[in-house]
Amino acid sequence: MSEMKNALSFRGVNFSFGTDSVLRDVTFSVPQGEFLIIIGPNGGGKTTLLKLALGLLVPDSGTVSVFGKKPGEDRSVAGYVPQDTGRNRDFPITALEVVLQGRLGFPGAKLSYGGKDREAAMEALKALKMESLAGRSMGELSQGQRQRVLIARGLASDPGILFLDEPLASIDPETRDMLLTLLGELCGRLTVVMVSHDMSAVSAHATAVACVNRKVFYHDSAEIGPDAMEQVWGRCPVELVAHGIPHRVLAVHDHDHGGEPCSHD
Amino acid sequence: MTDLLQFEFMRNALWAALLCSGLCGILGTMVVVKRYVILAGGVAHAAYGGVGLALFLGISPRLGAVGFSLALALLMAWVMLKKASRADAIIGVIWAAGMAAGIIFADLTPGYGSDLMSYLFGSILTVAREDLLLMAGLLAVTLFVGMLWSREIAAFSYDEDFARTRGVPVTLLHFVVVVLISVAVVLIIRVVGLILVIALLTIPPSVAEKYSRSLWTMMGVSCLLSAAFSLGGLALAVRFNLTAGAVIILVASAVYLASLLLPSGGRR
Repeated sequence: MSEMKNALSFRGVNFSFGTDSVLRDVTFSVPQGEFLIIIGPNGGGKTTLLKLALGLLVPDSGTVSVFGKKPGEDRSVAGYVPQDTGRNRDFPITALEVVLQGRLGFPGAKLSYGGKDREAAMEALKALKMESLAGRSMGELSQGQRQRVLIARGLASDPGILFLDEPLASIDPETRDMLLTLLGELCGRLTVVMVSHDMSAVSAHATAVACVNRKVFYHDSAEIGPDAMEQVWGRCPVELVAHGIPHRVLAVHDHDHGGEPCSHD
Repeated sequence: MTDLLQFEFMRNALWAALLCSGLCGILGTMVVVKRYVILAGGVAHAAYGGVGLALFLGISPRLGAVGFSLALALLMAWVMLKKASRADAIIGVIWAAGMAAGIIFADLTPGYGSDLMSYLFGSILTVAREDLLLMAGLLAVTLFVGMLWSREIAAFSYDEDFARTRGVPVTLLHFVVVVLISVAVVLIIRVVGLILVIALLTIPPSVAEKYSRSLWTMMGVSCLLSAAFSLGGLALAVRFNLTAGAVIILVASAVYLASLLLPSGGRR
């Protein structure tokens, strides 16, 4: 199988924080153009998986590759939309300046952003219907608007693969639907990898699902048709729910938008 | 106050106030947005240990303070990277230990008590020419770094993880900014003392943040505010024969309180 056909691949990857094993023997490949949604309980290793793919963390053993290269080797290939923790709400910066950060690290970088960078940034804001708010400071924007700016920043580098960490958490339903539609349109042109708790998003948009809890089980597009998600829950050997509840339970949460399906007690 | 300008000490005090304002405006902004306040406090108090050690060894207190603070600042910067979840507690220990060491060294070195006192409260009216040159040099280096890496510094300040994915040398910038802040803290201690240096680093940016749409505006507004506080405080101190450092901080605090009560300008 040609390595180049895969947008992302993990081979025998192990990762631990100190003595705390987070991911064990992770092997899967994501072909180009997929819309992969990563689900699993809190602390199960979803964000760690993204950070390994981005090169922000380095595996203890095994290899990660993005379009056949080491993560971080080719900066232009991956876009990143980190989880919006609201930590930086008061930071003095406009939406446009945030999106421009996505243009950093381009070859031949000068001391300041050029006209081409601004064009690309405005283009990305337009895709998210945020161009009219480009000059607003981030602190003035709503949570959904801020999330759209962060996605525009991830897209500003015109990446081949876009990684999103919980972009649907605590945003309004309207923005949520708009984002899912947009990401659905984008996949095919680029590969989308999204960590989410939103089960209805999985049913409606995912072409592949990775269940993550220390181990990773990858369900590819052949396995999940539009109606076959139920079967995925039944078949996946990864324990997605704490305390031994089988993750068939998850399907119950199909209409629980942005809910927290993985913390039953 | 104008008649006083014929005296060199008064001219030096004015220059010190202006140079401090430049440093506080730019680096104080980094302290506030990067949440380095405890680090700046740790450096300020560690500097006291350095002064004590220098007096004990009979070397220049300025050299002792810069060297000692810089060593501990690098240690604190490393702790912030590697032990982020407990960094504040560890820095608290370094903070207290540095201060205590200074006091012990002072005990062991009779006759220098008053010198150490001037580091507690600062003495803008006795600032030496070398101090001014050092401050000007640091300001020049800070401006150079800021202009060379303006985009990287903005990205690093806003979101470290994202900046890393775009190839920004986040770890290097972290250490560079910490070193600049540490040297600035030690130099500013000469003017307002270690107790008040934190206020001068944090108050102007905290006021400026409310009215700024970019890091650079925040830095500029902070510089202007800082200069206003320093010169205003200095004038009041001379007029009423009060301790300059303390008056400067009271002026700053009053404006900060007022800014909390006023509706914010361009933002929110």
